[in-house]
Amino acid sequence: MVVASPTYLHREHVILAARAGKQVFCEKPIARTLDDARAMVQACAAANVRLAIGHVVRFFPEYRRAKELLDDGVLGRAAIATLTRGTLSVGAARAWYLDPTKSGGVVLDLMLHDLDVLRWWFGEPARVYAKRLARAGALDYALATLRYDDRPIVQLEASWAEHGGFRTAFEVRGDHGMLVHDSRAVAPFIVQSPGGDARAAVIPASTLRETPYRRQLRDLTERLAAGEPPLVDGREGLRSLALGLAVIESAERGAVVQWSVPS
Amino acid sequence: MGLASWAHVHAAALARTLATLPQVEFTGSFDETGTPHDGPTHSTLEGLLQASEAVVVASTNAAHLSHTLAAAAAGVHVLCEKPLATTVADARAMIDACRRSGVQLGVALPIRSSPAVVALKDAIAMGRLGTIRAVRATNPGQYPGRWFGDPNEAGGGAAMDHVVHVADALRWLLADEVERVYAELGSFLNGLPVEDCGLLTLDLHGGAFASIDCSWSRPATYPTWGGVTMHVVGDRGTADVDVFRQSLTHYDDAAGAVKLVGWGDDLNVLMVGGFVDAILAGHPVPISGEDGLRSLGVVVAAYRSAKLGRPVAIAEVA
Repeated sequence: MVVASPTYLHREHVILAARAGKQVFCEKPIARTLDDARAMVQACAAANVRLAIGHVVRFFPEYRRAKELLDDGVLGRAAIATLTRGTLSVGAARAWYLDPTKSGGVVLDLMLHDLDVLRWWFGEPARVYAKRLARAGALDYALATLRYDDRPIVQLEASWAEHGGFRTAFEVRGDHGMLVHDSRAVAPFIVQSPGGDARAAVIPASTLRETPYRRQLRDLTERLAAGEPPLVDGREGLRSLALGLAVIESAERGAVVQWSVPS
Repeated sequence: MGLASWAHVHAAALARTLATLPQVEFTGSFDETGTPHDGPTHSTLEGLLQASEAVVVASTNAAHLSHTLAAAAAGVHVLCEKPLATTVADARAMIDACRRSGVQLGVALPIRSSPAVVALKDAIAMGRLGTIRAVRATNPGQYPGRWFGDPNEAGGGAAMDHVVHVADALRWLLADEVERVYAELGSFLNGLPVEDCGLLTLDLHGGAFASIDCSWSRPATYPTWGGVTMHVVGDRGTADVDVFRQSLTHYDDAAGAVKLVGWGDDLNVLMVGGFVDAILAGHPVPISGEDGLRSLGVVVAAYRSAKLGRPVAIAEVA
């Protein structure tokens, strides 16, 4: 069962599916709260079904290739990295996104992707300091600085004010060089027409034989058929959620939040 | 107008600018190391000061104080390289000395002179962005070498070198002051006793926030020295500035390298020209010693923040 409901309903829907004995794929974030996430992980374990979380950026080839290069050590140790993700707010079509108690706003919707990426690339950070527009609603924008023990320093930017359409970018500087990605610079196919296209880009364009979204589901079905765990399981989704909640907490308190992996 | 010291990496460009500006008579330069340069060469700072109505101070950061005090004592106006000084006390002493001597003190911060930054200022003034809520700024570069990694000469590392450029531009663009600073700093890439990586987060009094990446993070193979960018988020629109974007890409087989060759306006000409025109007209210079002190306060707060592991108010340090 694929659960693609609003975030605040994930708990109810995933637990229903688990109790019916279904393997579950749940969109990210795993849930709006850690309590909900823990209940979902426990329910799936109790029902002996797999729980996969849709951290789809781990299936985007530019992020996978960067991960391979980082693991191969071509940069040496990372020193400083920045990751950006922006789009127009999707709230015009789906109002629940604009209610922070239901969606978690731009931090849990967009920045969560890059929080998951940096955990995947670099492991667990030591502390978080973040700023976010005080006004909830359609204009939501956040900057977060994450510091690892020793290194690297990471900056994340998430924006629902990217009026030019969906944009992702990252830059990683290490001992021996730098990797740079900017989605605006790598589009291999562009169409323009009189009057333009007024539809808001709610997901990044993908010009690949197999989109990352399809690849994500194919990977899961292959793993399930082989009796293997999903690439991003419920516990991993819970940890990325917890880091997103630490970003929100830092922004709300105006203080540094020390980070440790939740149980 | 002359050039006091060749220590700064900007010195050669500043000397060329002084020799080029039509409203300036270039009185030559003084180099502590005795190295000869184009234009009249003075063997002492006093000799240069006697020959000049104004000087550009392009010494090490720590020597800004003594050079500026000497110029003020000689009744010579000063355009001082950034940062104005390495400590708040030095900056205050320079401002006071120039005020007492009746000479003007300016700070060499070229970003306000960029036509792209002026266009942003105009867009804000016309209300195209609404109220500015957030700015993500970057000012990364290659490690400049020389004394820039020496804490005694430079007063710090990448943060001391780069933060003031964007901090000054933000103060001007938003007509606001920085209230609080959080900084993560690290010495990762060049084996220096000072930071070469830094990320600052600023709160402004009016409620906006901003970040500055001030790192010496551009690799040796990067096609240019670095750059200055700003992503500005207002409640009615966003804007992007890339100050040095105007460039040709040069695939240079002879050098075995790819280079960006800038063709935008020469910001030194605009910046020094603006300083000189203000002096000639008897007006306040565009970027004053007080402005230099304000942007230095952001840097000092950043070092305190990195040491204490918490946000630090400017009022705690300046």
